[in-house]
Amino acid sequence: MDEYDWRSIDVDQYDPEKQFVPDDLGLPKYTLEDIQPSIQLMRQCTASGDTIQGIKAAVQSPPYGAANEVKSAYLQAALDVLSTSKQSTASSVISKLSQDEQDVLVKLVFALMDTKAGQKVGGSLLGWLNKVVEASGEGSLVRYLSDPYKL
Amino acid sequence: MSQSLKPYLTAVRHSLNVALCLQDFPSQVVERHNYPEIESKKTAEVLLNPMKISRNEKEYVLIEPSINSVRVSIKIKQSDEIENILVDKFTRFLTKRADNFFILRRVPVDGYDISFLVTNYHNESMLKNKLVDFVIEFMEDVDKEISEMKLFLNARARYVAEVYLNTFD
Amino acid sequence: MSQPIELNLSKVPIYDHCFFPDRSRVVITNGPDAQIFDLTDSSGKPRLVTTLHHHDKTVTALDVSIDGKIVTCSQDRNAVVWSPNADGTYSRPTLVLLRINRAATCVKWSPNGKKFAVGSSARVISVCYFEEENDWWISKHIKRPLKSTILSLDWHPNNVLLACSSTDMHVRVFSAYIKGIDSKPAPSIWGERLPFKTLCLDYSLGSWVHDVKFDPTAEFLGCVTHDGCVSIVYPGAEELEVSNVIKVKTPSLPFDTLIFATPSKIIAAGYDCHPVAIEGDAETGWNISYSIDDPTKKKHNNLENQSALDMFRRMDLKGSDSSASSKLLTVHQNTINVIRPFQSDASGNVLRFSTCGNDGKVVIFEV
Repeated sequence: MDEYDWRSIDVDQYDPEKQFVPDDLGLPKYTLEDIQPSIQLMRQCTASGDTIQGIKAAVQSPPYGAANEVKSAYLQAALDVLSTSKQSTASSVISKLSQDEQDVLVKLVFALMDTKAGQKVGGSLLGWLNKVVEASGEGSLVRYLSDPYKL
Repeated sequence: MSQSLKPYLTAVRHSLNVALCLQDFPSQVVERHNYPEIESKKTAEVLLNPMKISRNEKEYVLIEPSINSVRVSIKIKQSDEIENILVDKFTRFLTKRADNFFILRRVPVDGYDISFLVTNYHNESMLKNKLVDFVIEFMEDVDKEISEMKLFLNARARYVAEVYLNTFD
Repeated sequence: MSQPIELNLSKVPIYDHCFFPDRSRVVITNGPDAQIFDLTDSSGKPRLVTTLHHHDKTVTALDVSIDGKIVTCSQDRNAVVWSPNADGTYSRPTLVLLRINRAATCVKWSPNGKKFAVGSSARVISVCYFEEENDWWISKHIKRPLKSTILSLDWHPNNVLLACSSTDMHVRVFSAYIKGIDSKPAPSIWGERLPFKTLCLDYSLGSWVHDVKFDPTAEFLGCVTHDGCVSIVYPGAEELEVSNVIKVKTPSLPFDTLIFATPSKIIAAGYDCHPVAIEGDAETGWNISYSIDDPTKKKHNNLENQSALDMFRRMDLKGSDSSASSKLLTVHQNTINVIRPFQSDASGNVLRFSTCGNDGKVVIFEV
């Protein structure tokens, strides 16, 4: 036989019965203009040092399923808010967030730790993560694992 | 630097606790078989979102969960060439004896130094909190061991150089 | 609250258990076999009565019908029905033609014991009924729109409707009406005309649904999912309509199983190794109310000897000299797999329930 690797051909991809089609989440297609207002709000809060407002703006409507540039712009703004806040105020800020908002915050932190910029400030991001777990148990991490809405 | 070690290990501990909720899952692709789904990746719906926990750009942990198995990959801090070689030798020593570890993977995932594969069978025969303790202790001790090895290496090199160069005196 | 009754029945995980209707015997899974234990033995300890050996791969689930028939299903793609002999022993397995080409994952008898449903990794539910002439159980398949492994099944009291939960994140209610075996069901909120395979409800919950149960009034569904939430799904009057879904987000690890103690109280248990009660109703919403066998209310019993000899022995064996016990504070030492009601009062509310787990124990708790 020639060198054509016929043994590892995935035959199942041609079988319509075997394909798993995940549910369509019906996400709107975000563009850079759509998230500009949230980014502006986050930049204002970073400048003024208003952590709680900044975080609420960041977790309000993250651009799930958007193109890479849109996501990186959003994540950069969120990173500024999170890294410029003081660790001591973190617990009080988290206690003011609802359960859903805490879940989105955990998602943001994990998405940020995947980026180079986020890894540079790994210490403060870890601090935020641990404070959320202290406040509301491991439930937010459990929900992050199986969340279909990915940042 | 040890300031951020404790939060790093606590975050990894919580994430591992959550990821190690495993159950037996017979394969949907092949009859009468039971694969660790994170290794075969043929069934998309039983894989979960991976978690990357980074302390800084040089040290991070990737946890990839699924319904019946979890892969934990660790990138150990290596700041110079000597540490690269030491880490490589250390992990080779461990991975060559992977059978005795049960949960060690013989080949680390691309981009990482060492990987563990924990399946639901390990969860059933071993206590979950002890498994998590083991991984956390490993992460704590590996940094210490590498620095210790580097010190001994430098000390030996210095001694050897001294003795050798003394002969020209 | 009295102490829970612990039964150490096995060294391997127990994936499923079922008490007989008279609560004197229990069947558990034990690797590729099912074992029947007698609990009324004079020595006070559970005594192994029979081992039902037929499957060659792990038995994943079993169930006992109201007339004492046992059905076991396993990862070897087969299920088998054991009928009781006249003296109450079990020796004769009856063939079941499941016609599935992957492992069977769960099985439940219908409330009248005439049919049973088997969920499988072949993305198919087999509803099986007895055929007299050939002395075997034959099956009819429900295929669409199931997209992935079925994790759990539950029957409606009218013997026709079947709720199923799956790893494709959906919870569905099908009609499993078999002509000749079932009588036409009364119209209910789930639908009026219900031929076989009719989909009565299809709802997506976002992550794998580990267990689904009808409530005691059979008006709505309770589900536990892998994102640590307990969801209560209320069906609407129209076909396939869902009128309300209440999602209770818990701070604990995911639950694996649940039962309804009353129409307003759910008991759920799973990876946290202790059961939790969730109470509420449609108007006021549902919330976590209390934990049963709560580990935060217990302390370690450091009964270990603190002598020097023990310290050196510990250092030799375990490499550390701390005397902290590695046992968990809860009764179950590993994940709880299945909860079943054990004892109910006259109005159908559950007073005690039994759980089995990966630690090989069956424990009976009070609600």
